[in-house]
Amino acid sequence: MSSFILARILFASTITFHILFPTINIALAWVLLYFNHKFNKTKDKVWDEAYSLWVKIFAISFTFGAVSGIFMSFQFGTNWPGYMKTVGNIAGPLLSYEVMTAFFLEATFLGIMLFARSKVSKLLHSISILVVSIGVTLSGFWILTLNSWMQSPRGFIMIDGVAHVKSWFEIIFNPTMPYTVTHMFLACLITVACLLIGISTFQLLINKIYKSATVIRNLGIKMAVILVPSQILFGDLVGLNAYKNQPAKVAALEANWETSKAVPTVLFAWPDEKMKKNHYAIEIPKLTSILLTHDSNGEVKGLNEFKNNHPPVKPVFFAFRIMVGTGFLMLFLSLISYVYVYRKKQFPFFINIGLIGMTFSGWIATISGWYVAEIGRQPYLVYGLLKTKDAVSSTSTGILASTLSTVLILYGVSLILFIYTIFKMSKSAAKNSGGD
Amino acid sequence: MELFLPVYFSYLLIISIYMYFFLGGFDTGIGLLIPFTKSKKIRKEWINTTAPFWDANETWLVLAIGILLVAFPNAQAIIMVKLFIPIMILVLGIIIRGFAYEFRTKLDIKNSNFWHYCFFLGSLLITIGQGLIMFGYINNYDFFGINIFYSLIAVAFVAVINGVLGLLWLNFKWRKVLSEKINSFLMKLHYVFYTFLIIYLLKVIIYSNFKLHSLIFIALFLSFSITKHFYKNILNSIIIFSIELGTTFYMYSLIVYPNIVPSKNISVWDAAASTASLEVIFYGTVVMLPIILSYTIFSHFIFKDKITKIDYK
Repeated sequence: MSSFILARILFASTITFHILFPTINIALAWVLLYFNHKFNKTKDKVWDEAYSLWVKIFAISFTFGAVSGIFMSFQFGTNWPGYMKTVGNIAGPLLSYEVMTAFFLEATFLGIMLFARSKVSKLLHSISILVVSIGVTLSGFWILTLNSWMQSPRGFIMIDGVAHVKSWFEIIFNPTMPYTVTHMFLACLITVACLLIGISTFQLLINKIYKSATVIRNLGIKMAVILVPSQILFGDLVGLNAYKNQPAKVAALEANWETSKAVPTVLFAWPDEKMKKNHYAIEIPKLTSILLTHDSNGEVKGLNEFKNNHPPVKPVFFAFRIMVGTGFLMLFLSLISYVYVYRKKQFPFFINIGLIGMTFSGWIATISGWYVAEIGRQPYLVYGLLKTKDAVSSTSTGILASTLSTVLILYGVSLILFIYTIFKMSKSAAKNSGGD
Repeated sequence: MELFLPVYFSYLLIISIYMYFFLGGFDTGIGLLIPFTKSKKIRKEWINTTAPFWDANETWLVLAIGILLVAFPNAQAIIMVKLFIPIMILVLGIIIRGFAYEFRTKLDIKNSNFWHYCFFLGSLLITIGQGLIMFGYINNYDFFGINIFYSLIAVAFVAVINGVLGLLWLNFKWRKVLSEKINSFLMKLHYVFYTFLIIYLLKVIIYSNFKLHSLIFIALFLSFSITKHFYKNILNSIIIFSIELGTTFYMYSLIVYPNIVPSKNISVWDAAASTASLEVIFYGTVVMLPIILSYTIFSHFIFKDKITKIDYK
């Protein structure tokens, strides 16, 4: 394998590992603030029990996110020096504002939030949770702004192959930014909703009368029942925006080979890049034309328009289907469970198993969504401006391969331990509570 | 501004690296000290003393890397690619230690010190990475031949710095008073630090663009070194050592300044990003860094007592 491919796998595996944890933290921080607020207001120990368990999950997740994030920032320099060299004038200020306005804030106040509960007043403790929540959200905002700029770069001029800033307003409020930020923040909330539901259901299997778990599970279901449909509807807008700014990405995720009218939506197929056609396709006639042009006979651009400048079709095509499929599964399960919550009925066993199985479904949807966004931008690193292969460093393949295999083992083992630890902590929380 | 900003950011870069070495050294130092006690309970207590701070301490490293990437895009492209292996060692250490921080309490294995050894291993890798990076940067990224010996000395120097910081931190934050024996070890370690420093200063004086005004720093430094305060009061000791370490880093930056890629004679002005972008970051740092420093101090004020037990209650 070439060092280009290895460097890409190294970065992709690191960012895949990394994104799991901010996805939890961005939403879980606000959920913890809510638990804390509820406990201070109602004095009901249900909320305190919930806070005690979930703050531990937050702590592990935060640490994992922080250390893998450090590795990512190093890889910008060690593996992708061409990135900063070309667009450093734009990416630089955005990244440095992330460090200065968010990283220090969250890291410092996390210490107070976690370990100073008995040392400071209730108000100051609540404020520290609020500050951490603002910190994680702000860091998400900066990095998503930069990423969305890479999807649809605006507000710059090129001088001698280096991008210079023309308008910060246009850079920050680039056409993709509102969609990326909203889509991702919704994904964070849904990921945490699934986590709350899955873990609480698991606790209820161990201790049927554990009141805290019932309350949190129902809260998660209410979150999901509002958020999942919103995300599915909003996803349509994300697709429309991508079609406007990156038609090649949409052509790849639809596996639409030729520009044509009345384009069907491919539900499932085996895309064949050599033959430039789909095998075993199951299609809904005209749907893609309707979705993208709001006209059943509308013309949709196909991959043939982009010659060799389009992303690889298979990964984008399948990642998109995994994301959408997971989304609809979430919708289905949350609606059914909501009926049980609404009627105050016991959950049947198979639904419980389904909900536990979906504990980390938010991760799957989020990662596959990011694969669509990032692989779909290829062969560009910054769309239309910088190709990925022009940014890579020439590190020897041997060194890269050994680094890659080391970190892959590290990520795999620690991820298993992470999931195991969460279930173990939830189990002991459920066991140690008599239930009342 | 065009002349000033690259200078400003090169100062900020060395200050961030210094802050990382100084604050992060408390955590890394404690990691290196783990084998010096056999008791699992004591090891746990030692690591606990750093728990509220370690993440914020490491953020200074992120800032340092950020400044290098952002302010000197033409330098990072050379430096970080050349230092790939030491950087990977450092990052691997940071990741392993991060995992150990969490799992040591949440996935504790009875009668086993597994996570504590991971904590030690992480700190050791961090120390090796730090030493190799600091050495490689000023030595043309050459780690082979006779340089194997020199780079080991650099690693030992960093290990001594971390060790002193770790012991100072234990004196500062651990519930127990350290025994005479350990504190005399600290004293000896501090002498070793001096020995390293004197050799290193001689090298700086002989080989670098040594400037007259740095004599003021050496004078200041020597005046501190002869004070008898070092072991009297723990806060004094920490402040004095922070100044000694600061001098060390200032001298280090003098070896290369005004170049930022010493091997290729690329100056801070050659490597800098566009003035317009640097200005945007400059105003950010002017506003944000005082705020960051004040809440860092605020957090240390909240945890001003000795820390032994750590829990979320």
